[in-house]
Amino acid sequence: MERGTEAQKYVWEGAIPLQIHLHESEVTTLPPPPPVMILAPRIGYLPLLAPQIKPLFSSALPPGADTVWFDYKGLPLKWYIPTGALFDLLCAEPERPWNLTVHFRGYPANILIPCEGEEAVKWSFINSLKEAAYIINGNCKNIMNMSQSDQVELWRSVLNGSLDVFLRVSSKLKLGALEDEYAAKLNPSLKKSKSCVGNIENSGLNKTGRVPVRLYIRIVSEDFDDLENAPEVDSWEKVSYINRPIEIPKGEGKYLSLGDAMKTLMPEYFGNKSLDCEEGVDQEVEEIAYPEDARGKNNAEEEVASTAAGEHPALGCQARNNEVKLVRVHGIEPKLEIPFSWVVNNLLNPDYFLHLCVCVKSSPSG
Amino acid sequence: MFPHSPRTAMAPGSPTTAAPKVIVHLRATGDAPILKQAKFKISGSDKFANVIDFLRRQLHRETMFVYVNSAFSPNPDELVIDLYNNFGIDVSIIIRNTSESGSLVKFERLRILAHHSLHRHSYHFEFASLMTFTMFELILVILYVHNCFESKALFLY
Repeated sequence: MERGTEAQKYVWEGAIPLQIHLHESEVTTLPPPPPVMILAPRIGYLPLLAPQIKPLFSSALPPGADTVWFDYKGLPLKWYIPTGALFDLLCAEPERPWNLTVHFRGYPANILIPCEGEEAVKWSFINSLKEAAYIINGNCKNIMNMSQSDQVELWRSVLNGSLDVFLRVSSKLKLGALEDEYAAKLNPSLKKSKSCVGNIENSGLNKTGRVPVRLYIRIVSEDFDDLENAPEVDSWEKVSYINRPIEIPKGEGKYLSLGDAMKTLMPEYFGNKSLDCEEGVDQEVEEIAYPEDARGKNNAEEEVASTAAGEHPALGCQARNNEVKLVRVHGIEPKLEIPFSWVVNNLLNPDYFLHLCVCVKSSPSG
Repeated sequence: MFPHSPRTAMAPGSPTTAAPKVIVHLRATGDAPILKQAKFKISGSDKFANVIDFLRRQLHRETMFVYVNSAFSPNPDELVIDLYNNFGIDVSIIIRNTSESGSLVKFERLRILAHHSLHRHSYHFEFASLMTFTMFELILVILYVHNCFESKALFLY
């Protein structure tokens, strides 16, 4: 019944070849166990690989209880970030296979939140989904009211990468962005190209037009011409993790490109007086400038959107020249001219968040 | 790759000024111990983990589940200001010290009903009146429930 778009299928089938080494401190056998090669789904989470890789290392492990975690070049990997987003963020120049180190001992509890197997990952996923639902609908009743069997089925679809099952179950959540009537409009319009873009915008993504976005921003200070020379991320402090919803403007002639969306999401980096700013964006920028005016009992919803985009303290980039080097989602570096609604409808993760990885070069001005 | 040249102009409201402060209210409900310090100020650029740490210290408990809007658990990396911006209209936090995930769904339904009937509007208005303050205010409510039976009591109350 519900059919995913071609791009959605690619997203769901997307996988990263991993070469996983056991950390040397946990090797008790000679010769050490060979690294394990495994395909990790992009929409999946690293701890979910544990049942497959653990038997291959278990004979080499020292005695003790197992808590699995991974590192990349010494950086412990946050398990609740989808594997694809981790890869896009940490490997500026994609490394294939991606060499990761697995640990079964010495969990770095000061850096990572505890993870007790699949149940913890499921819990984190459902929470993320609820958070997204809250942004889209202002509540998460639909997820709270899911039957146990639907919840299990939804989770299994993520585990197994089965898009059809996911679309069938998730359509009950009424999160709009992936509703089939919309997909139906989108599919023919892809063939007809530009003339239908207006219709797409008018059809609306969901009732509120708000899209939950998780932004992972790497800030690098040195310049590099080649992505291979990009500095490594050696600490999570160097990554800004930002959650801002973006509102798709409604009405005639409002067209939001990915580039416009990025400007709204990261005004600190993109500036906002650009000559080619779309009308919708300009309007939004004004709201950002005077968020106090928009406040009141009756326009609470608007207020959420307008303040969300502005006044962000986390980026620490005063008086600097900023240049966005890279915007990446699901391993793609999309053109910034493409309609943001297309990005949303095709490149969302199953938790209904758009996970965007951004690399910004920031250097002192003058 | 970005088609515009880098620019020094900062967006209005961009971090040229200090990070806005968020006042967090912690309210004990049910059998939650009443906190000595139920209100604290936190920088918007702090992570949600800092709030959890504060609660850990106050309640002397290692494991807890913290919910925003009686609905979901943000991950600890999320910034307080993002939570304020996204969910600040009606924010509450629930701490649950049971980890029986089997009862989770049933429990949450009770909780959301209780929350909606009891708190939603009052918080909304309270928040609206706080809008006039220059300080950002985030209201966090703590519910601390030992088991599902007690959550039923909460539902009735």
